[in-house]
Amino acid sequence: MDSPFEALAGLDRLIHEPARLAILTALASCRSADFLFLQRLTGMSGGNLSSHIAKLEEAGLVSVEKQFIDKRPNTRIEISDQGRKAVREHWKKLDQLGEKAREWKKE
Amino acid sequence: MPSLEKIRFLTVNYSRLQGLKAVPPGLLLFLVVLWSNGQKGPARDLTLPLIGLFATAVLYGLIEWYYRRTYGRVEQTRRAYWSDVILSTVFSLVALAAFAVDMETRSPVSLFALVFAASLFLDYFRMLRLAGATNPAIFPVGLLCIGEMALSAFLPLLDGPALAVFGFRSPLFLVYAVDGIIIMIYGVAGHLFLARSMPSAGEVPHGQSV
Repeated sequence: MDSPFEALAGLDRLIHEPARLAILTALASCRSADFLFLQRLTGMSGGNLSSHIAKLEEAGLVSVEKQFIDKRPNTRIEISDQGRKAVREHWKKLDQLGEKAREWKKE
Repeated sequence: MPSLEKIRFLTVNYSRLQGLKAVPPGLLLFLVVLWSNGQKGPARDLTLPLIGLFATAVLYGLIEWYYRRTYGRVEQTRRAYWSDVILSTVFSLVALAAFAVDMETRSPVSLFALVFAASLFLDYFRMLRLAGATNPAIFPVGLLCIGEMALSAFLPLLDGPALAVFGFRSPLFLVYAVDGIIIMIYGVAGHLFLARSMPSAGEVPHGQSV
């Protein structure tokens, strides 16, 4: 059985980074959200959020659609099936890690 | 940055937490009660309540626009959307039936207020369940308002002189006026919860480029 430290090292760093995990968690809870919502939700600056979304898009975890709503530019971000699956597995791993850490403390 | 549990709660329940939307209907209820209280005999001219209804619809639309501009847009999952539609319809019908019972029976406990409080309570736990939240006190002011709403159902038990202090002709008028105020407080509390949980967007006010 892996120790909690080995399990921790095995986590996907692309998803485990706190800002990206927050973005994916939000997107996995809805069909899509726009850039402004994610920015207000996470409290990140526009540039910071953009760079995280670009990394997630590059990995195929989210898709980005630029559109105009009421003559204003709007960026809509949607999680992909792969992204939804990845974040679900990540939470599962985190739960298992928590359990392992508790058992490890008892020994 | 909020916790992951709070992020999920805010995203899943974004439309429900747009509390300012509850202020116009709450205000309408309160003003219609005051108007009804001032009527002698059955009301014949309904112009004022109809103007109020129109103003409520306009204000609701403006508030929705404000939230889109200030906090952004979220498209709900199909499951959350349909659960919203079905529950809102069922709750509205049950509340209407309870109102009719209140009017017919003149019971010392307002069934309408009880049904309203129960529907808000069930809705609160549905909000938690949809977000997979484990902390039931994630929005404590909301729970407090629901409790107050339930208690307001028992206001008709106050005796006559106590009611006269408020100047209402019927105990039910007092219940509905109080409920209107509670709906407004619940809405403002929801808005403050959302505003505090979602800090200012910073350098990009309606920021877009990715």
